[in-house]
Amino acid sequence: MAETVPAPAPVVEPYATTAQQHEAATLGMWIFLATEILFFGALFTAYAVYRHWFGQGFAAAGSHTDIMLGSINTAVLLTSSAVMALAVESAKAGAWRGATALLGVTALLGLVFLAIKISEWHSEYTEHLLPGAHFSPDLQSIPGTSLFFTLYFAMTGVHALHLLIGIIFTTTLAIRCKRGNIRPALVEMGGLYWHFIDVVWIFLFPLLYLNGRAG
Amino acid sequence: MSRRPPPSVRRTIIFAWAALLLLLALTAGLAFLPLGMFSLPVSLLIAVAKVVIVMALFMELRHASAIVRTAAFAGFFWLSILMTLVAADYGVRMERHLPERPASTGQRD
Amino acid sequence: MSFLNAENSLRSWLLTRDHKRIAMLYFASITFFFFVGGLAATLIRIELVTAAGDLVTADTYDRLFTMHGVIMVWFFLIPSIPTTFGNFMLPLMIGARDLAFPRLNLISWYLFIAGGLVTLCALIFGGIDTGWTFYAPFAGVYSNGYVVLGVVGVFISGFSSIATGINFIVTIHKLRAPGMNWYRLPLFVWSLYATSVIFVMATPVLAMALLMLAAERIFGIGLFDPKLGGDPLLWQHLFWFYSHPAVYIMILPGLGVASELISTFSRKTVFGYKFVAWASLAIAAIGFLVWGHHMFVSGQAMYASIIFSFLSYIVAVPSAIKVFNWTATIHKGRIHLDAPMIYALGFVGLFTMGGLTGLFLAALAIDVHVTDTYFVVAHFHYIMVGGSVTAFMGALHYWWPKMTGRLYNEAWARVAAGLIFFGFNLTFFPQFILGWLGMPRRYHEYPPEFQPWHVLSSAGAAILAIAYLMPLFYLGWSLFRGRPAPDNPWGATGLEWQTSSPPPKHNFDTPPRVMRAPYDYDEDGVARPQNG
Repeated sequence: MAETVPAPAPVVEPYATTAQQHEAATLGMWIFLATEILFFGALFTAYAVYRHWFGQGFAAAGSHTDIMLGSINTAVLLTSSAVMALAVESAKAGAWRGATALLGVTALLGLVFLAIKISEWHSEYTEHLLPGAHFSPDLQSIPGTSLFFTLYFAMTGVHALHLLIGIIFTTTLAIRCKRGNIRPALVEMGGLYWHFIDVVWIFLFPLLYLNGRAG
Repeated sequence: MSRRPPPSVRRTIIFAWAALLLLLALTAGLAFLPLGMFSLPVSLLIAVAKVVIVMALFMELRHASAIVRTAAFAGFFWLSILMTLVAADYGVRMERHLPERPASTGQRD
Repeated sequence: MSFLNAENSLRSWLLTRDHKRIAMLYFASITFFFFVGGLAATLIRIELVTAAGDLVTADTYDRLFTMHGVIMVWFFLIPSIPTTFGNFMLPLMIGARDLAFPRLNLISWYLFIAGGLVTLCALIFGGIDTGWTFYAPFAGVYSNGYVVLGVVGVFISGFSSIATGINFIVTIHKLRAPGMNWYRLPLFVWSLYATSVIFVMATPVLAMALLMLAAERIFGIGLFDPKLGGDPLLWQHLFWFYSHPAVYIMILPGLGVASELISTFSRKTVFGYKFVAWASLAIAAIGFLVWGHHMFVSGQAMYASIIFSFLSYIVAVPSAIKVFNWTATIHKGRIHLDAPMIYALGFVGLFTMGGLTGLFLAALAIDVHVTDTYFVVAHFHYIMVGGSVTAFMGALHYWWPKMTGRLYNEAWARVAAGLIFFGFNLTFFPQFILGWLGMPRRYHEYPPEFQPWHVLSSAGAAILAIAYLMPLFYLGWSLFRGRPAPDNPWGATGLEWQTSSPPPKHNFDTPPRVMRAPYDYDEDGVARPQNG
């Protein structure tokens, strides 16, 4: 059965060709992602500073994150990136049914990630790992543990917010692919954003989950 | 006849995915070994390897123009400026601040 | 049919994608904020006429200088030249029909307005008393002002900056007209590119730092609070990583304007064009490496301070290169002292003074003595007002005919320019002396021996206020009664002068082909336009 191909979108002002428009969009998206690296980077810098100051405390606190769930979540996100990459290639090839399905799976995997993350946060709340008045007294006695968890919640929180935006955007792309009124370039841009969220998590994972595990 | 992405492209993506999962297993496993001061650099190096795979293959930087690649690395480069010069301060400053007190005591000096 | 009268409904202005209309929207907005910030400055200078703190309480005074700083930095200086003249002129100068992302451009204006309104709320509800620098732990823990509201307002406006930066960079890379290669770009374009790099690389760090500060205030977590293990210096590092490059955001466009004005009104090509172009990029790049010079007495490691001090000397070099090249441009030129040129020459002198005093401050031993005194206040006002605002005024008078299609009264313009120069120096030169003598900044009362200098400064401020109000009148008048402007009233070479004043909606009736480098004047001072 022939796939329907959406009519190519007209070239918009101020561009002369679709190629020029596509290059501009790609460059613009990458510059935006560079700004996001710096946005998260401020938190990574704070983490580096305080881990340097409170090495012992960060290790002690770090061993309380759930490495099993964190690893599963990392696998979920890495898989979602692979699925998204396939979705982008499908869109570029004009395989709109495939693209729609793959975008849907991507968004779904994103939701799985969020669900696991929220359950982790809930566990951490009940285990008194939320910094503040009810922070675990055993950990409180070691300097830096509360700061670790402040950064943990801040970094995973900001990441989750970006992921949520990504899920909404990916779902929108899936719907438009189904209707067939979309330029492949837009799916590519969504893909770039999605992979970026993955990149951030790839750096978060060792810092937040792999510290303080060795004996 | 339905269109699909070329098989070579799909293969690349699947292999990249497999490599990423392998690296994940590696880094998670290594975390339990007593590597001492090497455990952080090792885990970060593996993370960099994963990121290179994602950026080069999924985000298609290997096919991108020079200016796009420059933009892609600019973020990391500028972040390294922030971290390096901040390290010039913290790497040398030795004093620590007061150990933490529980927030609920409400004591103010 | 120009872009101004193409359509006239409110909707056509508020939903426009035309970079020229968006530039006008920005122009109106930043002018409003300039006068709000100026009002705070007026009250400050009135208070400082007497040694006693008798006009306002100390707490109110704190809120006044905070309001002045926050509004002037984020809602006037940072957007000023890029969002008005940058938005308007960039596509014209490169021969494009619009910026790369016209809708993003409109969104950036709405973000700016939203951020501005939220910040105004903070000020109206009762103000912020932390200074525009929001230092921890006062801002995060102890202040009683509307800190969260204020930082949220600035946070929102930061995304306006980022959007503008992305738009400009992509536009310059992808939308140049045929024949417009990099070394044929006007220097204003080079300076906008450098500014945009700072917009995109510095602003996100501030954005996160502001969120961290807000979180500290709301949740009582200890990111910067020493009592909870945090480090107040971390706030300063993250804040100044942005805010030092931000001062280059505030001056680089002005440096670009200076190149345009000086070449046009000397009827000569810019001496050392390539050096000036690369100097803009060098300022942007090196400007990221010097932020610790704001932290010399804060407790930062001496080792780091030495590095930052050294790099601060290096960053002065590209600025000096520009000043020497402008001087060589003017030398043996056919100088026309129209209002834009008066501003340009004033700019060069005042910027040089501001820059040199920056070098005093970069010396560790001197900084220990004058930091947090009026010496610093004078230094940055020489750059920001003597430099940036003067350049803004020069650009305003230069491009006014192009943007509005009207000529203003040249005599009044020259009087205002001269009065601004005089009033500015009377206001701020005494402040160098005050700082050297030990007058601290952010104090509303002071020992009586400082009073004569403060009186001089306040007198200067009064003259400056009148001088800044004058253009409102003669420029406003020109909108109704000014003579219609020709395409190229100044006889300049850029592409923006090869289309009508004001330009049509699509900028050029026929897309230009660029044939030559900019600033090409023959030996009689007659322009050879870039596309002819």
